[in-house]
Amino acid sequence: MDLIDAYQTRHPEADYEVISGSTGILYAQIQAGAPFDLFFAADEASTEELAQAGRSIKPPEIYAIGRLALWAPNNQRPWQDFLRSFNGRIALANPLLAPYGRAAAATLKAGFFSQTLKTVQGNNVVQAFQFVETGNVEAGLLSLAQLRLAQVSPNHFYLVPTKYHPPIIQKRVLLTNHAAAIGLDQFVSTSVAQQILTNAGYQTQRPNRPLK
Amino acid sequence: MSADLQTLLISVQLAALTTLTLLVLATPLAWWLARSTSILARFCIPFIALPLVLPPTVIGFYLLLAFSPDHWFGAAWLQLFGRPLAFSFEGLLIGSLIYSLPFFVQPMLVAFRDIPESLLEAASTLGADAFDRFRTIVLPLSKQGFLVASTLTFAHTLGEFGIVLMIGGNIPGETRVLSIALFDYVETLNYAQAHKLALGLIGFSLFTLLLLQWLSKPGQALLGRRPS
Repeated sequence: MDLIDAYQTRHPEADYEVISGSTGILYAQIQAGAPFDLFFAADEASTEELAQAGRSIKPPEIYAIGRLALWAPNNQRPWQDFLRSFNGRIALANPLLAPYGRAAAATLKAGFFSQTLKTVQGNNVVQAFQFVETGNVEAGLLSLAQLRLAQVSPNHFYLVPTKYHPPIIQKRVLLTNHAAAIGLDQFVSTSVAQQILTNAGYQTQRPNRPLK
Repeated sequence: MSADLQTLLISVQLAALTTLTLLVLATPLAWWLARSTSILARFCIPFIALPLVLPPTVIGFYLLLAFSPDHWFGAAWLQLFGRPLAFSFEGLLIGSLIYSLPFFVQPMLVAFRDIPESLLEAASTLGADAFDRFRTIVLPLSKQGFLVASTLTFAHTLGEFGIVLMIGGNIPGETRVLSIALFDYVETLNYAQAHKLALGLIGFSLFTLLLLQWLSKPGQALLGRRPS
């Protein structure tokens, strides 16, 4: 969103309509011929498959690497204590549909918490966020970008170390050659855009060292 | 037990419990609405019909807020039963009761209104108390209404999707129902499994509608209703 605003202040003639949804759903819609120009996926595979199916006009590119964060709005304890003793339910996005859900499920499986927790799945990461926000679930494994956007206090969330899950590599793919789409696609690679993404809670460089 | 079988079981349990609960709770309500001439009763009917016209997401949204331990309702429930309401089978049941209420009450209203007041008065003069009158007059005369209301409620609960998506949380063996499993199959492009569930649901729904059609045929001996 901020990316589009930033681009539009430079190119006021460009006009966009943003359609948001879980990556899996949008992928299926594009495969079925949905008239989108540019697709920002929250994963790698869906854009690659679209390219292979001949739906893209250039190869997909990484625009961001997502970070997973544990949000527990009512936690007063040190995070290490919380990870050892939390016994409630944890919200995450559906691992079958959403990349952040997949990362969250991998994190739980890798022993991020000392104990096995009951999970509550939202259809996408936004819904999982709402489960925690409405107070129905005490904690959630969500995206850092989401928490930043909602201006959640940094005291209430804990960044999940990247060793717990495969990197959440997010790619975008250009689907048509509309001028506005090409312009925005190129803008994402500029340092201005990269700074916006960093502020929003993403990494923009693929880590050189293997992730620990 | 296979995942699909478990899902089917949860769906059937939810539909059956919703129907049974409404039989107990909504029958007196429908009776009151059918016989009462008070303003209150007339005001109640549109409120009960509301889930017929509202998108399920509206109900799901407010239930999600009400179920929260931050809200008095969710807090009271947590205090009483020691576990939260959202993303639990009990929570789904409450959602289904609200969502399916008009599907039960409307056919019962029609059935109860059809019972002539004179019959009840005659029974009363002959010394039948309220329970006798219900058992020997109301029940046989509204059998068809009960069958239609129960079948509709059961089938409608089985097909519920929007509310479950919002207050269910997709927990296997607790809140993952057929419509949600089907949605997941479609979203993950697992069309073979999706067809299996979808065709099953179409078959069941058709069967239910045929059953309803047959049940509402007038003069059926099975229904114990003689042409008047």
